Amino acid sequence: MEQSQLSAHLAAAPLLSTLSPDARASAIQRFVARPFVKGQSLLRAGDQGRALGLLLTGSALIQARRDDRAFTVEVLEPGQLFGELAFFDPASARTADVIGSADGVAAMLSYSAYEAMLAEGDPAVEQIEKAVLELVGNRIQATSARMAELLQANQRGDLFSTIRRLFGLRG
Amino acid sequence: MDYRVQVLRDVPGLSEVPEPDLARLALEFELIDVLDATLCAEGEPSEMLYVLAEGQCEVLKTTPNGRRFRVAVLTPGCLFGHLGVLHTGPRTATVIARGPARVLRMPTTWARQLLRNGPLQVTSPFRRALIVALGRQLASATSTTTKLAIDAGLGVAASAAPAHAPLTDSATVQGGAAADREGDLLRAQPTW
Repeated sequence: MEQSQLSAHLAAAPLLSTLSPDARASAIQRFVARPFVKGQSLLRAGDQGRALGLLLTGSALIQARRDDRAFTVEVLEPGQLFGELAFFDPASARTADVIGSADGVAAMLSYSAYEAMLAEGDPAVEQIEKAVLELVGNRIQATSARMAELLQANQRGDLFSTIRRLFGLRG
Repeated sequence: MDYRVQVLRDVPGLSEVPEPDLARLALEFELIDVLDATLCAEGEPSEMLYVLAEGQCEVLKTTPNGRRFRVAVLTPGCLFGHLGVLHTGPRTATVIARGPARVLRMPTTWARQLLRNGPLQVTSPFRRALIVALGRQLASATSTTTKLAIDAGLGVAASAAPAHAPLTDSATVQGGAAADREGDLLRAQPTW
């Protein structure tokens, strides 16, 4: 992806859309485009990584693993962030796989780039942190609600159909 | 060093915060000692954000049929009551100090106001601590959900998932080392 295309996609992303034009242009320079193809791993569970991802085009699956099995807990669409926990917590490894489900491009922000923005008082820092806080707040609410429903379903004995309904599984 | 700064230094997400910034955030917390106290009550309004400084707390949840069970044990450095800062709903769990404990606390209304109007040097580490606390809680909840789904036969073979080499940070770095992987990450070339 050309830098101009990356800039256009990033400028349109909700993450940076409320910044002033100058602040947005400055923030865009900190991201690096990473194209991916369907089936490619963007992040791998257990790895130690410090980059925050923003999906620009295409789609990706967040898959959690247990032993040799995996389950898709979320489908990422353009504009959504991923990799936020390990980005902010050096003690946390990646907790899930992120795998391309359609060819696309992700914009990656390195932790050192974020630190430089923080040191310079870049207004994008606040915007990024607020977006990530809102994202994890919403994800924990949704996940907790699902988990409560699943635990009740488990007691009732209809776990299989409840999971399929909650996660939109077909077929 | 102020005791509150020492406590905050152990909170996940705050280990890399410069000390002057941590000291400013520490001023927003009040230090109290408790004994076998209920600090959060499930279903009650969320009025305080806490950091456990010393001692141990249990997290309890009640099932719809009224059965109460322990879901976690908190140790020093744990932030709790944090959902109440983001959402105005009632507490989702009960937290009880087992024996004597010391906690830092901040009213949730003040925490919200601080996040809205505070200087970046204070709000940035505060947001990071909240993000990490929520992120770890999310990881735990996701793990439980995944176990249920896979036990129900809805998983796929994990090894079959990544058909290509990882796009990004495949190297491993141990523990809390603040190694910044993006040097390799951002130079890494796509492998297809």
